Amino acid sequence: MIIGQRKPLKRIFEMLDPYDRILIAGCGSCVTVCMSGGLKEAEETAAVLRLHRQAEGRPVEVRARVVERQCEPEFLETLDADLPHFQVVLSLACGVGVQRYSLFRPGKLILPGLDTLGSGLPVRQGLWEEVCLGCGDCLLDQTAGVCPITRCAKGLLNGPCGGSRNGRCEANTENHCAWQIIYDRLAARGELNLLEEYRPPKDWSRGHWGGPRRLEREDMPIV
Amino acid sequence: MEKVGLFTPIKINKLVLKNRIMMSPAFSNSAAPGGFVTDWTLRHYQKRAAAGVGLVMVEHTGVSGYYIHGGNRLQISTDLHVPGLARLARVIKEAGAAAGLQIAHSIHGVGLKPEDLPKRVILEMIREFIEGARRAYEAGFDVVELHFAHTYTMADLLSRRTNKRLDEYGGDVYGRMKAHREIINGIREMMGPEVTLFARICADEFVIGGNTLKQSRVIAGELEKMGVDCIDVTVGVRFDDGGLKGYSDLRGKPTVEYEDGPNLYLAEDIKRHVGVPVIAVGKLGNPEFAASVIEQGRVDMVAMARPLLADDKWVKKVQAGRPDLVRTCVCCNSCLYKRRHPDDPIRCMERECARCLACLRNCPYRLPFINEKGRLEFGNEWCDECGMCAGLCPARVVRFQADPQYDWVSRQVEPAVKKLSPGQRRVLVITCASGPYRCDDKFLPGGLAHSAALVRVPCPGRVETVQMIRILELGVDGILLAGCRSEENPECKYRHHHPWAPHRVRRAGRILEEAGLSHKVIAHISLTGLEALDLAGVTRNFLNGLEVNNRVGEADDHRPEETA
Repeated sequence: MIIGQRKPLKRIFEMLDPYDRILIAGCGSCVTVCMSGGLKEAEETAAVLRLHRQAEGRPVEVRARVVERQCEPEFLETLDADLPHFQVVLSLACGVGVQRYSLFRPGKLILPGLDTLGSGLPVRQGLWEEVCLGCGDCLLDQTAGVCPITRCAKGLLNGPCGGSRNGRCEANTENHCAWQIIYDRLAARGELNLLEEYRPPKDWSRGHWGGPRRLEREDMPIV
Repeated sequence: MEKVGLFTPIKINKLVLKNRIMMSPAFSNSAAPGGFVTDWTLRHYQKRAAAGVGLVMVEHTGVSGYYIHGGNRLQISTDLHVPGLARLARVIKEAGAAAGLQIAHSIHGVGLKPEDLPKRVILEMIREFIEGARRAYEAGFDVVELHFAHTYTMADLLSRRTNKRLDEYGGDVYGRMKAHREIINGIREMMGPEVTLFARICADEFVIGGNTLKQSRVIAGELEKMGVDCIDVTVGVRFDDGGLKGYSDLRGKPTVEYEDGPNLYLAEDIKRHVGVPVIAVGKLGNPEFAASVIEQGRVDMVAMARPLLADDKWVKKVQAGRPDLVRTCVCCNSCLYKRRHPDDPIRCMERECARCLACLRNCPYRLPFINEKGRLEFGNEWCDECGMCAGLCPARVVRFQADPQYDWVSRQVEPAVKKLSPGQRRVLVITCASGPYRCDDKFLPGGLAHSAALVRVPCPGRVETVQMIRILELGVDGILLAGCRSEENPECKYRHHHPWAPHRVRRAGRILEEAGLSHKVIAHISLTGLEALDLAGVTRNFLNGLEVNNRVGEADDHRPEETA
């Protein structure tokens, strides 16, 4: 799922400073699961915003709502009844949701309330970690199911750098060295020979760096 | 004797129902202004009828345009309403079910009690009921159900708690039933003995001094003698003690913590005392359980509303032998209370569950599980109602009646804070409501009463960050969460989420800091036994700390101006 965290409140206050009728739209999917943009967080942001404006002596009208998924226009339509009343929408969805909303309702100012951190998984209650960059050419079969592109700070493909110390990364000692994990897992499986195979270079053309990628199924359009 | 099951037809008066499942009348909030049927209403009932429900009982429909509950309610108060209702009856019948209409009258909606009514109004109401029933039969409904239960006028009259009338419409149980008798006689006189007439009664009101089985047995027996063809037995939903969402209301719509069919014993008892068929209602959405109820002959029909909201094809799936496909109703009551807009029609909110599995991973009793179909399910036989899942649920799908959630701030905290003097520093103390750490309001002597309010919750660990911030919005300067030392209370059922309090307080503090509001203080303290006795002292210390912090905070506030 997509993980994200709320923007610093200071930034949110700055963005919303000129407005006094604000709709905060949460998203009921990924960001609800990672507890950063669901109904509760929308309500929380609304409450903090009101409190902040109260302290400034400028009352504000904030409503917190949530839709099932902000990346689908049909779900966003359920907010339409409220929309004219509010000057601006603070969307707590990931970047996808925010963009979908502003494309869907171009006349409305949709502001992002969340910094998207990518595709991650829950490590334990209250901790989520990014594990996939969506590089377009998956090599998890060769790396014992651990992605070096995401989990190695340098995205190395052929083994650890010289900065791997006691299984930790030199760039951030809180992180495990991805290549150490890969090596350990392969060793446990007895598949270390995988590391000795010669392979052609990774196909980076399927990665993001050539502009947005598209997925198309020709049999899907009905008309 | 022939074996009777859920899908055995049943004959009531002249009406034959194809199975024993009734869609229980439930407010759908879908009527157009003036109480007219809308397309939404039609679709709502048509869908359930098409999926095989034997009898679709349309929600309570006001016989009077004035004496009616709030919300977008249907009406049958004039002949103008008949065409719409006739369409509704037609779509239900064309979809293959029998159509019923529940008719009701509400003085609660306009804030009156039975003793406030002049006799003229009672006579008028009786006439309106008879007229309403006539219009319903004319519109094509097979069944009319008279709503003699919940917080409607006829139940107010039946109840020994609320009916304090001194005339012939009050007094003993027979006097309290006089209006009912006149209504039923009137309908029978006008429409004849052929039409099918149901009555819904509360078997137990679950309010102090309200009707219990002792009265309702007599009532049911009398109704049978008056010519009612079937008795629909519900319970509770009286607002006299706990109001909306109080115990009585809760018993009428049993929530997640109740077992299947918590009110069945009452319907069973009524069935033993009457000869006419009896319908039971209340958390009967488990297909196996519903079938067993009929097979064991405990009641004649089962009624359900929420399970049919959660899955409109409930009957179809059960009949096809695929109860595993049924989308289970978790009885969260969110369909009723958690609509996004007060004008939205009711619908199941269960689908909003984001399947984050926080409840499954953190339930201390390991009750939620992934069933063999790969779906998340709640096993609630061993639920201790600690409310941990409700506190964790990020989508607010799981909820408990006793949880300090939702309207808790406006219902309890706001009145408490309003009593404080505005000129002073104001703090709110949140303490435990049970066990040895239960703190009494009396702890606040003289000086503190103006600046400190006390609110009790099941466990301070249950108060969410967002609620703390909303409390600060009310204008208080500080919140003190006074919890216990959980190691001293190993038996407390809330021990599992007690450790939350400091975490949540820390998070709230960080948010306040980030928002530049650090002059407001939220603190948590684990009370020792001695401190619990001297909560006043603890509060005073907190207030003093607040003074000091504020002096520092004010100095901080001024500094930028000075430099600028």
